Amino acid sequence: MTWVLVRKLLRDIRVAWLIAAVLLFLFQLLWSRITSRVTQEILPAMQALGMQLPLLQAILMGRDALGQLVQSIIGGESIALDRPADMLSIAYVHPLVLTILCIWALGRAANAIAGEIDRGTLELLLAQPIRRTQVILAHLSVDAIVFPFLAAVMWTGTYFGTSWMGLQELEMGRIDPTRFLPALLSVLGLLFSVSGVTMVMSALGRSRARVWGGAMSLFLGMFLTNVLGQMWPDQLGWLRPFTIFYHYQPQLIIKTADWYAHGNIWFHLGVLYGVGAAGYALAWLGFCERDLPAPL
Amino acid sequence: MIDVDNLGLRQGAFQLHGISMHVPRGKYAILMGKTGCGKTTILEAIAGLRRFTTGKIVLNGRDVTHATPAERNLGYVPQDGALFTTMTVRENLAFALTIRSRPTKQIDERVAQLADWLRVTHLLDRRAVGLSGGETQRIALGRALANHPPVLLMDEPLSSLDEETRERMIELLKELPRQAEVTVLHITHSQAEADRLGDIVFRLHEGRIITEPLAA
Repeated sequence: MTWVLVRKLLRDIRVAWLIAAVLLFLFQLLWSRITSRVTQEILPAMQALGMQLPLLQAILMGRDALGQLVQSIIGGESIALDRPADMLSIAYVHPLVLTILCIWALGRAANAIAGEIDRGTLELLLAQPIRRTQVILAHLSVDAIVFPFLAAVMWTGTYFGTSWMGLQELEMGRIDPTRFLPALLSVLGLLFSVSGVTMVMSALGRSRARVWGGAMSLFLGMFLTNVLGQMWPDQLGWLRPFTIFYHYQPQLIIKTADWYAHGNIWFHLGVLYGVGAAGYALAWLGFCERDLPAPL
Repeated sequence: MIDVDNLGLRQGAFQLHGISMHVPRGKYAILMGKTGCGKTTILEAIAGLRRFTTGKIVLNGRDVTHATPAERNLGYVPQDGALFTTMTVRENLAFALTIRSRPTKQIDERVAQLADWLRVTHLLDRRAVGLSGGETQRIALGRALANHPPVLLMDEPLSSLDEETRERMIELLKELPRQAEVTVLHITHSQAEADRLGDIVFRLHEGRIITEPLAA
């Protein structure tokens, strides 16, 4: 019975799912192209003009305001612009990718309960032999199917991008796409945490638009807090651990060969998955206890 | 049969007191009242979607006061049909049977039977978007009746229809108790609908039933 519901839910989201997958795939291809251009054409050309890499790196990623802003957007200070693998890892933390991932997870979760109430279809579902727990379980199952698919599509984009741009055979630093696979754990964690938090709002709300607005404000606030915390670490740095974006660390996983041996990486992953799981648990509790009013 | 005994609930400033109704098996009951007087709230309480503070609900002789919506085994037609728009009309009609894992042959037969009665056979393979108001409500009605529920709740099913379509729907609804062997509770604020369809009419005013059933 839950499977019938899962099939219905997958069907409800198939167009948005396909669009998100295509966008993620294309962005990874595009970023491979950008990586290829930057590392193999632009940087050598600038060096030929006398602009040395350390100077460029200092301008773009130094300790001044511009450098901190760039760093906060494209990754940590250990990123070297002339290393193709480092450049490519930016594609996993780029704001456009974060936007696609967050909007996808947020939109789906907002639609899950509040959207059904909005459309007046939740009463119809619950008038069938479907328990509220099964509704939450079905949404969790949809996440369990869709999120790995989206993450896999991202990695496939990386694989084909690096292959087509010749980045897998570079003398200066060959890229092994399998190094990017463990980073998908972080991508999945981000999706799950955004989905879990939004699911709580959705399970307690009755208007999809309001849940959308509330969740969007929350995550935008977290994103800005994380960026500002990086720019003014002394004043605002302490706030960063309270944002999920601080714990989203795919670059750290990509750049650390023995990432699995590092406790801090597991801590970051644990926070993301913990937030997602807590969100789903609260959504389940809230949804099982609430009244279901007619649509607004 | 629908038996509501001394139902009461409070939500902020809004209150319902001592709502009692009795609809005998196979009768078509109308619940009337102005917009915002609590008609839908009563329907939601009967459907098990809303908790109430006092009272008892009995459907077909079974006390369902604390039962889940699914355990109440009733059909529900919301105000605007609320079809599943990513499904075809056929899948909408079959939904209650598919979710119960009924055999395909049984589902196909029931869908064909409903589509024929509701005159939507030509729409069966169309997606449930862009349908007219009348088509939407007929399909919503069919979806609610697919599993032969003994009780059908309808929340202003005709309110968004034009006059001609409403007339045709009223003719269809008149056949309901005979065709589907179902006890109906229909919410409306239209006296004309009540006069044409109701075996019993309840009036709700300021959270209270102020008129006892008019006719049996």
